Amino acid sequence: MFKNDIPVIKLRWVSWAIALVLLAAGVVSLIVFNGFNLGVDFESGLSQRIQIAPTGLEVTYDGNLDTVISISASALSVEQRGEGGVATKSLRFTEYPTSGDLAQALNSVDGVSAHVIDGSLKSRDLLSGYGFPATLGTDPVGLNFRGAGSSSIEDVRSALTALGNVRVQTIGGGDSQTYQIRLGIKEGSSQDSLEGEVASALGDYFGKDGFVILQSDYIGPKFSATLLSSSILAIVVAMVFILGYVWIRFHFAYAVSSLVALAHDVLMLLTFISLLRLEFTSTTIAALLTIIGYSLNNTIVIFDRIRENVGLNVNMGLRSNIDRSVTQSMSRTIMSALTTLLAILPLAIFASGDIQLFAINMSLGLVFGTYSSNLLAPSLLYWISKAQKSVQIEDKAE
Amino acid sequence: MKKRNRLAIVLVVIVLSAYFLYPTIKWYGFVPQDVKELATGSNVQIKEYARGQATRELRALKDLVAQDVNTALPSEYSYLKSAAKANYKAMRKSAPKKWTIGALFGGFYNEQNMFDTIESYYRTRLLDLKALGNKALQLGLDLRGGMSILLEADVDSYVAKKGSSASASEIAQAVRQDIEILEKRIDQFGVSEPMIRLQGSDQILIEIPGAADPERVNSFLRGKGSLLFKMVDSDLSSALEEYYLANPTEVYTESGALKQPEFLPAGKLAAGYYVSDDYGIDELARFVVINEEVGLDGIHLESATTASDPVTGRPVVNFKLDNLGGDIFYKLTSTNVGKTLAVVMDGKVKAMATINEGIRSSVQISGFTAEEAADLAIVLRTAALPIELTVSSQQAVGATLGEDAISVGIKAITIGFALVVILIFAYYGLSGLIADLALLLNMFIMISVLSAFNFTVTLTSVAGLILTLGMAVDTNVIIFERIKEELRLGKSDNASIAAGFNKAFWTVMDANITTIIAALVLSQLGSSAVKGFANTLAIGIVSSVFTALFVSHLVFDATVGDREGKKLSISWRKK
Repeated sequence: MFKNDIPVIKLRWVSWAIALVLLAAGVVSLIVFNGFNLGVDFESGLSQRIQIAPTGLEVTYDGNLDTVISISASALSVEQRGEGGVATKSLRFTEYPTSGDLAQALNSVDGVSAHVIDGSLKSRDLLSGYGFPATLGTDPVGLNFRGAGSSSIEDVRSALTALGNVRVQTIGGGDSQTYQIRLGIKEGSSQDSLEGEVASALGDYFGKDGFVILQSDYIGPKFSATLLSSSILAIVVAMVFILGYVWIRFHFAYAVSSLVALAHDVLMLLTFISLLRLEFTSTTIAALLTIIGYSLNNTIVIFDRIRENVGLNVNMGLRSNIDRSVTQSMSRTIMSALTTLLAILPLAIFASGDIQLFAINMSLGLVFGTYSSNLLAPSLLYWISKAQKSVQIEDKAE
Repeated sequence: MKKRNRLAIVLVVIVLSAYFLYPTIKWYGFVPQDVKELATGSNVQIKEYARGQATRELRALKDLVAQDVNTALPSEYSYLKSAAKANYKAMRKSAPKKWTIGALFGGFYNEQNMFDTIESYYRTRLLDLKALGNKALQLGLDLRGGMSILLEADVDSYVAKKGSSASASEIAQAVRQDIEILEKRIDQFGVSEPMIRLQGSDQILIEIPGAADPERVNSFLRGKGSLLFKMVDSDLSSALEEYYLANPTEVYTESGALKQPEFLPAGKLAAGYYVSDDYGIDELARFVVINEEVGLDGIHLESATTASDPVTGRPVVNFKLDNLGGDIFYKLTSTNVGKTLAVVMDGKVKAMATINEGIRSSVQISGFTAEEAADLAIVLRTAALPIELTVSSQQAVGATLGEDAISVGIKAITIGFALVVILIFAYYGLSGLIADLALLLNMFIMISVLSAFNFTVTLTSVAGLILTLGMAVDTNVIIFERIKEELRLGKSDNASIAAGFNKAFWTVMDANITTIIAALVLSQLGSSAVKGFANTLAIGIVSSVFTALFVSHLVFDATVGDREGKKLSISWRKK
């Protein structure tokens, strides 16, 4: 594929210099930013995804039955449980396309009354968030509909200022009206009290039912501590096992070189996570480990080639053998990186939250992994082998 | 390995995968949404639904037979034919040639028999579907919406309440009792069945698919204050039994609830007396009439234990009431000596006992088996958990977000898959199609293994699936590049393919074994979200190595072997 071999060894000083400079930048950024932007699973607290959405209906129930209203993608259903039995009424959105239609149908259910606030909203825009399926009572339950609003991230921030240090992020496009909010745990506060504070602060600003909580995660202090230690343990254990395997299958020099290359990938990804202020969550750990696996896969394929070539062309010298092996593997390296990138990119584009973050981490890691497997690991192998004096003969031949 | 053996292995894997995938395809593809919702309900709900359905259909059938005995049997009732046929046979009569409404009725002994047949038909159908659903690919809470709560035993308050320090085994015992009580409350929860599991020694994980309502969860944890003591009216009870026996369509309402007959005076309620059956489901034993007026509310209960009577050795349940409760109970029991008292939980009579004398605070009920006694003690204890629980972590995902996540996942998989397939075909030509085929098979095997082992698919496993999609091609790429090199050396197609697969073998193994080490470590040590990802990745690696080394090789041999002379298409370049 390539006419001449890529001069990997000649470029070794440059490639290592680039890596070291970037890593130094990472260290600096960590000091400047005072650590990682830790996600809620590592830093105990409350994380909620909220959507500002207009209320279309307010539903109340007056009676003795246990009445529950639930929303799925295609229908709204009311379930009534009494002594010993259940009755369910399902209202399909195809039959009841607007909030007004739904209200009429709801009013026909015993004891249920629906107060119309906006009857023109589309039923299929109904949102089902935290609090659903909801038990109806005399306090009205608001039904929210996905809608274009004019709220901005600033509105959400100012709504929550009273709660102290709250982080707010926009999710999706601006018109999706969806935000992620995060707040740390305070002394003596519990999941209930934190949720209550957020709900009342948002309620004061956007109206009691003016928003929907799409997702709510609460992580207590003890839980987050165990998560961090188990994650670090996972990475260390994985590295040790891999070192052992490569040592057995190859030589010591190969094992050390591949491990240093892996350390580079992990540190490099951490550098960019710090530089770009990406959130550090438990899926970041998953991304780190996947990158370890992926980059190692790359390195092993190249090392396998080097070992084969060294055996075949004894009088060609390690330097040319390494150059040739990297070059021979190059089309595979490119294809493999490209297919993985193509598969993961749609996720980075369409997904949101943790999974999008994972896809971004993976894409970055792919680049670092490819870099280290092709440039850093082979040159390190060259240095170590030279230091081991096992390459004297080959050097003479050069 | 011989070609024939390889083919056999590939075929076995494909057939096995199809077998394990079948429930998933049937459940998600061919079961309507409303039926799915019914089938995922608790067994009690299914029973109630079947009863309501039976009441409705029996009534409709009776209307039809009253109109005209000779109407042809509508097709929606044709499921009753086989039962009727069996009955005709048992009655030593020949089954009718033409199935009219009248002929159908002739095939049943009485209305009750018909009612039971219809009820069992609906119940069996839903229970079968429920079993199917359990075998299908399980979606995690982040994809279907729901709540997951990790509760931790509040040891400090337990010790404070008890007044002395508690040993670890004592705490563990109390936590296990908590779980037992929570499981008893599942029926109250409605909508969907929560999963309750012990984690470690002092934590309880509760997962509630489909419901993200903290209020309901709290009331579930607290237990509803619906434990009541009420007096039984024996005369009306026997009248009720007779009435229901004579009128099977009048027992339940269309929603499966007990229908209150009109002859009952105000202040009296018909209720079912339930005993737990072998499966832990409440089985209706008989009907009783109880006073609507509450004799004593369960909030006055302080503790409940089982013991055996020192004289007879029969199991008994002892419970203690607080001071106020004791006063109320004394008044109730002393004025009702000789009558029957019922323990009513959620409208169901769980136990009945005859009052022998006025009782104040320490009550003993006897007259059941050891298991029933233990059951009742749990029912009586539901008012309070032995050890308080605090929320350690809680994740709640609304249904809307879950649905969005599924559609995003499917979109990302489809686009990613299409892009990879096109790239491989464009780069490797016809050989690329072999890799694409292997990739498709790979997805198929992965999903079937996920459902076979009952792994729960979460958003992170979808990420694992997509990532594997990209990485799975790699094995094929390594082999193809090797084959291309051999071709460049001037070898024949067949020789190149053989050499390519041989030389690539250890490269592929080394590369994938190291990746699988990372995946396995992650699946053992990672957090639960990460585990889903690691499992998918590990399965994906194994199946991608299999598809590349077995399937691709086989297809190459089959297509290239007998067409010597033509050029192997493995590059986009024209040679």
